[in-house]
Amino acid sequence: MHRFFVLFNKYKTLLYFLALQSLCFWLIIVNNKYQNVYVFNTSNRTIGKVLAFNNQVNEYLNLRQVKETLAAENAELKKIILSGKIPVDSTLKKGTDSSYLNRYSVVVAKVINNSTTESKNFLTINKGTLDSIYVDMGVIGSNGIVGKIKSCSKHFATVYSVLHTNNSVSAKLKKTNTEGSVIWDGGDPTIVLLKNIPRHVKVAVSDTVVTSSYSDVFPEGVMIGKIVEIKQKGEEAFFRIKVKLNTDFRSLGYVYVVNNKLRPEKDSLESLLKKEKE
Amino acid sequence: MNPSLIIKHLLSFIFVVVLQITIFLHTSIFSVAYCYIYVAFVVFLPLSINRSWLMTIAFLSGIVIDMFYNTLGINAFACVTLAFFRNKIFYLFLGSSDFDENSPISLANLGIGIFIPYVTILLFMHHFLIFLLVNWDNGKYFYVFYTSILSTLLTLFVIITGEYLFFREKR
Repeated sequence: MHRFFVLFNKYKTLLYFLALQSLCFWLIIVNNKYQNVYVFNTSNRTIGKVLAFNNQVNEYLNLRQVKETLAAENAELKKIILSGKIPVDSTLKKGTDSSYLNRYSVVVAKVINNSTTESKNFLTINKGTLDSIYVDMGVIGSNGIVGKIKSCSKHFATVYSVLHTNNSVSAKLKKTNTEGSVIWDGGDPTIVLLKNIPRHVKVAVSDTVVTSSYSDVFPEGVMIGKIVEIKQKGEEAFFRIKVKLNTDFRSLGYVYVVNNKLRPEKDSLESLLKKEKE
Repeated sequence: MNPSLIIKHLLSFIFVVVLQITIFLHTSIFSVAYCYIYVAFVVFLPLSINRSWLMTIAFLSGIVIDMFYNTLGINAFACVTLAFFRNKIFYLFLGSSDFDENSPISLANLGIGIFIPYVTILLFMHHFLIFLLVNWDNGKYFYVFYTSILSTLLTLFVIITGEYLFFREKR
């Protein structure tokens, strides 16, 4: 026993070091695995307040750009009102259930923290569960998609940006309705990759890419961006397509959090199917 | 350690954290060089401090920074590693010269020949671990390598500028 204590004393710093390292590893894994660990990230209330203050100081720098996007969006909405056309899902016919028509609710939030320079980028917004924002809701900006809620506290929420290398968005080509998925591979924050578009499909540069109806997170037809480069390599079955994002992540001011009210219904239906398979 | 010294270190800790999250949070040079100035706090704590305490302090400062970066555990991991090897690396570069364990580690106290290699090695170790852990699942190892070198140079530059601006007259 005595020798044990001698040995323990000799290596206690090393043991403490290893214990701390394992704790860190555990935290890294927990943070990547579970969505709603909000105590130790930017949706934490204190951290959120600090960032909100930080944002108050910095927001004057891109005020002009924010103002311009809002004005452009207003103009677009006014055009729709004046022409008497309200954009509806093309599959809808008269007499469809009203809860289906009104299935999306939207909350406006301000971006208080945003990065585009890392390989896993997050945003923090100043609305949380008190404004009925919950995990996995979609976030869009006035020019297109922005991301998906990762975790939320009462007053703040963190968002997986589209510029997060593990985040993929189900997308389609507007012209041909071909389904694919959009992911970011790091690097240039204005370019994302469109994958799984087979080679027989007709695509051209400057075609529009929008979100598809398969997405649980975003409504169908939200703008993603325009194709800037199409490549074919050898015998690969799919194109390699680069898409220029319509959202400028470097000057995000305000975003809209979209809640798909019918999602729980869809999920419970699909979980029945999954159970049957098992 | 006497209370006034503890308060002094606490204030400098708050100072580096505020500096990190207000100026350097999402600032980078062409997305390849990032500045993690807060590490300076762990690098410059006096040598006389107990190693377990040093690791605890490093862990806490890493966690605080992680909360702002949404990278829980990564900065803490890098900081604890840095704290564990810090004294060994210091004596490696000090060689046979004399140094009072209680005096603060600074450019003025050590001279450029010992200060720069000591700080560079520690910064590189810390930055490399951070970029490696952030990018471990996307296989961009070449990117990890040059980003950590460029970031080390950037942080070193900021540290040396700070040393010259604020601590020069103590020589």
